[in-house]
Parts: sequence; structure tokens; C-alpha cells
Amino acid sequence: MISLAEAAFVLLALVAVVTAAASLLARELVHTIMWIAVFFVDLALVYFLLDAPFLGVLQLGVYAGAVTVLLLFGIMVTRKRIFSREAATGIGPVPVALALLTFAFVVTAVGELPGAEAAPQGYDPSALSATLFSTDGAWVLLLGVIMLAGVSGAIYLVREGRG
Amino acid sequence: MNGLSEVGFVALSAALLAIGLFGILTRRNFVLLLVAIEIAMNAAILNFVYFAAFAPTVPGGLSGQAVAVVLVGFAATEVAVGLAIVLALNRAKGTINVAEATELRL
Amino acid sequence: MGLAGTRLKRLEWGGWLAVGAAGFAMVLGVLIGVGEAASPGSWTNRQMLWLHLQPSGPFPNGFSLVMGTLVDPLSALMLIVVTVVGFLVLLYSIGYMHQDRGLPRYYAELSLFLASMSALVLANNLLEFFLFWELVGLCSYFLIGFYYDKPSAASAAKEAFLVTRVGDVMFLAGIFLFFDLYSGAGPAGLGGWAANGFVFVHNGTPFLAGSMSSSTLATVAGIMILGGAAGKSAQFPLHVWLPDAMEGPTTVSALIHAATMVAAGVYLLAITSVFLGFTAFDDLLIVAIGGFTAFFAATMAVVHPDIKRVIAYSTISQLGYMVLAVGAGFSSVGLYHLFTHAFFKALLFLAAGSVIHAVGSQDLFKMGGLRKSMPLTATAFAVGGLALAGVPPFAGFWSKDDILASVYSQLGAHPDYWPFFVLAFAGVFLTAYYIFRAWFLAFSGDRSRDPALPHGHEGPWTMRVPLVVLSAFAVGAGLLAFLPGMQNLLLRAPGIPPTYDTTGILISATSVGLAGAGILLAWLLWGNGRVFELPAAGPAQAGRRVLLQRYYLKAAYDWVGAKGVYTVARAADFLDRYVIDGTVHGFERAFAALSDRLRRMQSGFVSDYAAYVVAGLVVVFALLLVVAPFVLDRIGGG
Repeated sequence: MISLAEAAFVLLALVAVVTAAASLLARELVHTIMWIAVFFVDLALVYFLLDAPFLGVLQLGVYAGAVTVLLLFGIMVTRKRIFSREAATGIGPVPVALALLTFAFVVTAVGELPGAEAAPQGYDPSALSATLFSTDGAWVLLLGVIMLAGVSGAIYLVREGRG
Repeated sequence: MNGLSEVGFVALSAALLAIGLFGILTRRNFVLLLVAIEIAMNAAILNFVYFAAFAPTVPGGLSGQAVAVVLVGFAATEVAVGLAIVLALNRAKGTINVAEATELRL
Repeated sequence: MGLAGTRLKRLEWGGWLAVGAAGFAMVLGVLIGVGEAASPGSWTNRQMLWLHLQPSGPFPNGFSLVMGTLVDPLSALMLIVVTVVGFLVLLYSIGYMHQDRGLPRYYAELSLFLASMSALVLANNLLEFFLFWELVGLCSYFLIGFYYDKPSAASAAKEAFLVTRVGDVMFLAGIFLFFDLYSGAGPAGLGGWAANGFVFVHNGTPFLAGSMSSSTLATVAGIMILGGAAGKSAQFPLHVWLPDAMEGPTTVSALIHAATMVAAGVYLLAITSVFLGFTAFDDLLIVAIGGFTAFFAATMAVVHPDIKRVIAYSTISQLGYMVLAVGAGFSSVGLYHLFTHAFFKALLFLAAGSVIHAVGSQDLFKMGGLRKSMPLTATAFAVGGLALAGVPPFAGFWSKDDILASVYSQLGAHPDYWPFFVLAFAGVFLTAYYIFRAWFLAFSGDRSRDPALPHGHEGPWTMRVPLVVLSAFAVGAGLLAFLPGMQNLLLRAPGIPPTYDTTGILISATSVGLAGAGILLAWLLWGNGRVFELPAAGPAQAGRRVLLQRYYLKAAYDWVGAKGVYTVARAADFLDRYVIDGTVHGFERAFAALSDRLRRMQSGFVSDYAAYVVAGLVVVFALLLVVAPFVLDRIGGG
């Protein structure tokens, strides 16, 4: 008898794969955005399933919120008509082969790592914030630096006066 | 906690990565390129999350989630920069077809 | 080396300079020769070390190259021949060649030849000998092709060079083989032959005489040396170049192709026989080739219409006699004949030259009655002819009969010499016939056969004096052998001087009889302006054609050369063009294509670069997941 969690996981996994593929293969750009939004929400649900609620909320907020809107802005600003077709490139054998190979290798590699038999376990969000400001504080600082660099770069790239 | 096995997550993450790579390799539209990158990044973040869940006794088990948090931030930044590039490219060439952007000089 | 003549002339009067130098050389040569004759070994030999390798690896006794002179009886004898005949020919040239252009080149080349030939006979080691051998061949090439704008002359020069080249290669191989044979051995305390620079004589004793083994290697070495000599001395089957060499000026033919260069081959055989040694098989081969050539060449001389070519075939034939003598073990007798032959053959050539100079043609069938207008030349030619035929008391009689007697004396021990002895004996008849056929055709009768022929006249004194001097030698040279001095020069070997026991007298009488018969036949057919016509159809004509065509041998060589060598050349060219060049160009094209492909990697497309990244990732994965465990397995388990 499959447990509820397992069934949920299978469903969520399927949705994730389908929406990801769909968003890439869609004809209309706006459809891409819609599919990817569903994908992000789906991933957030996966995180909830893994007993990482903070991350799930974060995913919803940042990805399903900000990133989706950003992508939409990108389309709006650069396209004269929102609903336009974009020609897709041919799908040659090389990319498919490479993708499949990557899949195979990753599965093999990661599957050999220790701890594959344990049961999942969740954490208290307070414990998470505790580590974020102590053991993993370096990561946060790094994030700050990266963000700063990114924002400056973005501003630079879009400023007027450049040819 | 409830019969979830890691293998499924491994497969999911790998599959998403593959899809993302596929998208990077084949899409000509810059925005679609960004989308594909996002898919791949999410696969990576997913990795961290389920490692944290399934291997708590390994040193730094909780750090997996912490890192995942940080990675989400990274991803967002990167989308912002990508968008800036899209705008700049569009201004220069009037298109967002990456095939047009073959020279280092815009 | 002091006899090296001066080299290049630039001015017209350079001819006299050349003659003066040759005269000086002659004086020196005769002095040396006479001195040697009086007391052998009286001249000190000089030598200098050119290169010396310490004993090591392949050279157990070390290895040397020397340059030096050796004045021993044989070389002194040759020196006299070379310098005297050389001087006379050069003197003659002044008169003969005075109308030709390119004279400075002529005198320069002739002087170079004289120098090289002198050095050749004075060489004290085999390598130096070979060096001057080649040099002499080179001069021959120059001089045969002197009239270089005549295509026949140019090709004759090439032919001479190439055919003798075949011989030279064999000679060189022979040198290597002898080196291999004797590099370790040698008289005790003196080290190996090669360690002493291949010298022939050391402190007065021949280096190797008697230490020869009769192994296969020695036999092959001997054959190689024979090959070299056969090439230079125009013996069968390398004789084809000499008749064609008559394209050169007659003086050249006289000096080089009658008296000296072709004699170098015989000299080489004599030297080898005395100092290095031939095995029994080699001796048989030498006898065979010599005897066969003597007869073979004479047959071709009997029908030829060109006066110079008749004499050329005669040279080949007489060289055959000399080779025959060396093969039978009588090197000294062979050299004796070489000595006399040089004089009377040069005489014949110069006399022919006098005729050609006067009437402008070489065709015997156009000439006639010239004895009236050119009495001196006619007499000179007759004297030479008598000497050649072997009529006493002329020079050829003594030396040729000596050869025949010596070979006969060996027939008991070597019954397989018989056929060649017979051939040589028969050659006597033919010799007398063909040379007097020439004389009768040219000089007897009342008028020329061709009315358009210019009248004969004698040449200037520069041409007449050599004729007279050579005639004297043609008469007397044979008798010199009875002088003790001369006998010293000829090493006092058996057969020197000619002795006459019963068999000897019988042989001589027979040969003189044959000679007389030959002269008679010639007179019958050609004397007094008669022309002997063979029946127009029939076997005689076919036979004549065969002889004229030199037994189609030349044609065969040409065909072999054209088909065989040309095919090889074509194959080599194909190889060069398609395989070698193809490989080089193939590399070129491959690299260009490769670089072109690689260049396309820089496409500028992001997706392409991404693809490369992913591909690299896949490769790394593959290495880590597949290859590494595999390798570790092997290392760990093995």
C-alpha cells in the first residue's frame, strides 16, 4: 500500500517534469510564463512535503512571485506583441543525447551517496534561522555580495547612453 | 517519516536538470533561455533540500536547507541580471534571438 | 703528385703551354721510369696520413686513409707510357685542332686528364686509385662530348659515363669486400690492410701478396674488381661505349681510348692480381671475358666503314688479349702488351686523324689512293698495322705472341682455358684482316672512290713529328723487353723476356702465318681499288648486318634501358609524386580541414558553448563513474 506521502510525491514529480518541458516547448511566450509559474508552485509543494516549510514559502515568494513577474516584464518590454510566436530551433540529436546522458550520470552518481536509506526528517524553522546567522552566516554574506554585484551590473547594463 | 525514499527525489532532480540543460542547448529565445536556466537551478536547489531531509546525521545536514535558501537568492539575482541583458540586447539588435548575439561587441 | 699538369688555360697560345707542361711531365716520367728500371725501388715513396680512426668496434686495427705516391716497377712502366704518349698527342693537337673552337677547354680538359692519369698510376693505395679512376672517367666524359652541340656526341659522352659507372660501382663494391676480407688480417705487427690506408706496398713488400683466401667473399670481390676493369677497358658486356666514344676528337681517342684510360682497367687487374690476389674462379672468368672479347670485337671490326670505329674495335680486342694474359696469371706479359699497344694504337689513331684532317671524312668507302698524296701517313698507318697484326720485328709481334705462348703454357693445368685460347688465336687472323682492309681501302688504288673527296695532304710538322716518333716506337718497343732495365720494370716475371722453345716457335710461326693470311685476304678483296661486294641477298648480307649492328647488343641495352630503367624511373616518379608528395599534401589538407572544423567551434552561439560545457560535464561524469572504478579495479585487484 503506497503511503499518502509517496502518492503525493509521485503526483508532484510528474507535474514538475511536465510543466518544465511544456514551458520550454510552448509556442507562445506567454504560455511559457504560465507553465513555469505552475512549475514553481509545484516545487514549493515538494518542499512542504519534505518538511521544509520555510523553504517552501521562500520558493513561493521569490520564484513564483518575483521571478515570474520579472520574466513577464522581459517579454513585455521586448516584444511588440505579447502573443507572438517564436521560432524554435531544431532539436538535434546532440542536445537530446547530452541531456539523457546527464540524467543517467546524475542518477548514478547521486544514488551512491550515503544516507539513501534513511527516512526524511524535518527541522524547526527556528533552528534554520539559527544556523543562518551562525554556522552558515558566511553563505548569507556571500549572497549579499552577489546580490550587490548583480544589481549594479543590471543597472549598468540598462542605462541610457550606451550604444 | 512516511516511507518516502530518496531515489525518487534523485530521479526528479536529475530529470529536471536534464530538461533544463536541454532547454539551454536548444532554445534561441533569450527569455526561454532564462527559463531553462531557472529550471536547472531549481533542480540543484531541490538537491540540497532533500539531502538535508534525508541525511541529518551527516555533518551539516541542516546546512543543506540554509544553503538552499541562499541559492534561491542567487537565482533571483541571476534572473534580474539576465533580464538586464535581455533589455540591452534588445536595444542593440532589436531582437532577443541569441543567435544574433555572436560577437562580443554589441 | 708532382707530375700533376697545370690546369686551366684561357688563351690561344695555351696550347703550347699545355704541350710544354706535358713535355716537362714526360721528362720527369721517363726519368723516373728509367731510374726505376735501373735499380728498382730507388725512388722514395711519400705518403701523408689523411684520416685515421682509432681501433674500435668494427675496425679492430683502426682505419686510415692516406694519400701518397708509389713508384714501383709497374707504376713506372705505366708512367712512361702515359707521359710519352700524352706529350706526343698534345703536340699533335696543336696541328690537328687549330681550326676548332673551344680550344682552351680542350687543352684544359686534356691536361686535367694527363694529371689524373699520372696520379692514378702513382697511387699507392686502392682508395686513391679509385679517386683518380673516377676523375679520369670524368675527363673522358668531357672530352668525348667535346663537340657538345652534336647530339650524338653528347649522348655518347653520357653513354660512356654511365656504362663505366656500372663498372665503377662494382669496383667500389670490390674495394669494400676486400676491406672486409683484409681489415683484420695482415702480416704480423703491421696491423690490417685497412688500418694502413689500403696501401699496396709497405716498406718494399707487397702488403697482401699471398695472404689471399679462396673463400666466396674473395671470389665475389674479384668479380667486382673485374667489373670495374671491364667497364673502364670496354670488355664484354660493358664494351658498348667505346665505339661511340669516337665522337670525340681523334686526338682524344688516341690518348684516352687507345693508350691510357682504357689501359687503366688492365692496370687495375694487374695490380689486384699482384697485390690482392684472385681466386681460381676469378681467373677463369677473367680469361673467359678477355678471350671472348678479343674475338668478339674483332668480328665487328671487319665490316665497319668508319675508320675510327675500326680502330676502336681493335682497341677493345687488344685489351681483351691483355685481360686474358692477366687472367692466366701473367700480369707482366699483359702489361708488356699494354706498353707496346699504347704506342702502335696511338700511332694508328693519329694517322687516321691525319687522314681525317686532310679529307674531312671518316668513311673508308669514300677514300682511296691516298698513299700518293700522304706518303708519311700511309707509311705510319702501315707500320702501326703491322705492329698490330703481330708481324716481326714490329712491337706487337713480341708482346702478342708472348701472351699466346704464356696462355698456352697454362692449358695443361687449366684445360677450361682452351676455348678462349682458340678464340684469341683466331682473333689474330681477324686483326690482320681488318686493319689492312682499312689500309687498302684508304691508301691503295689510284683515286678516291668518292670523286668529291678533297685531296689528301700531310699535316703540319706538329702532326708529322708524333707520327714519326710513334712509328719508331711501334717498331722498337717490343725489342725493349730484351733490355734488363725493361725487365726490371716488368718484374722479371715469367714470360719476360719472351723465350722461344719449340712450342714457342711453333706458336709464333702459326700466328705470323695467320697474320700473313689475313693481310693477303685483305689485299685480295680490297687492294688496288677493288671493292668487294657481298651478294646483295643471302646469308652473307645478314651476317654483315648483324656485325654492323654489333650483334644488336647495343639495341638490346637501349631497349633494356628504355623499358626497364624508364619503368623504374616512372615508378619512382609516381612514388614521389603521389605517395611522398601526397603524404605531405595530405598532412597539409588534414591540418587545414582540422583547423577549419575547430574554427567553427567559435561560433558565437551561446547554445553551442553551453553544449560544450555539458559535453565536458558528461565526459567528467563518464570518467568518474565508469573509467575510474574500472581502473581502480584493475590496479587494486592486479
